[in-house]
Amino acid sequence: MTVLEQDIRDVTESVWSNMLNATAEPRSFSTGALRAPIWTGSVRMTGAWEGAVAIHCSHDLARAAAVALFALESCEPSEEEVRVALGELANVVGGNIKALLPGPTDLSLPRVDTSERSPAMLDAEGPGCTVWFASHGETFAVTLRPASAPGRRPSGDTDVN
Amino acid sequence: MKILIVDDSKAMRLIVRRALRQAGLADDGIHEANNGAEALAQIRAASPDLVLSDWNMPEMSGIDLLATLAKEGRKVPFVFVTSEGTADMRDRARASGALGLIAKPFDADTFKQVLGPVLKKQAG
Repeated sequence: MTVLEQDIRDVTESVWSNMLNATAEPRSFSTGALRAPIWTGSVRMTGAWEGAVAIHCSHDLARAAAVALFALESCEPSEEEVRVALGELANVVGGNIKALLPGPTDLSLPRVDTSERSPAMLDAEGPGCTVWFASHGETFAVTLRPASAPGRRPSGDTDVN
Repeated sequence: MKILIVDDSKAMRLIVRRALRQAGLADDGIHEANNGAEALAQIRAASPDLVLSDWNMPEMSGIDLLATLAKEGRKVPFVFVTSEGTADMRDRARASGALGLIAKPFDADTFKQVLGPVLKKQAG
């Protein structure tokens, strides 16, 4: 495991604990462990380091995150709440990882998209890394890819605020 | 006490509001703005006792909001709440007159630790 992978673990565990009051347990999964549709929340970095950080998870996990983040009494958050929650998690994880990379860099606003197939960013080989976790009985992944890596940016995605 | 939360994320505004309530602040004194421009309009209309602002927002960033307030001669206690707590940003925040920077994700203790002295001063 690289230092950066360990940092991603630490950041993600901290975000899950402080924002969702939940655990994110490191796991060694393959992309097959993610149930479609796959939800991806991502932020892009430009400047001294160019690339993206993304969280990939199932709809059930994104929904559980929204319920926890908004402290909803109902277990049925709206689609907008699910998007906002996943975007904010990506924003906070990305913002913390940004501090570990060469600077200065600018962080984009978060974006969220869904895909029936495994996102290219998740499957990409080469520079960058993917770290797997389990939470709420579901698996999810955090990826860090430099701009040169294939599938850095999902297409057809939308900004969320 | 009137506190203005400035963040483009509805989720984060809710989390900050929750943390303020846990710190003992009355919910009816807490106001929200979606970005720096919206916050500026609210501050011009009625100055809050404290601004808790994100850094990275559309339309007007937190640091631009703080600079505009300074240019207009408005001395509003200002604390950043941001996911990008690099040393450079902390320096820029301090140089621009911010009282502090709370890095996301924060726990209730960190929030109280940074805001405690500010709230005490404002209440007194």
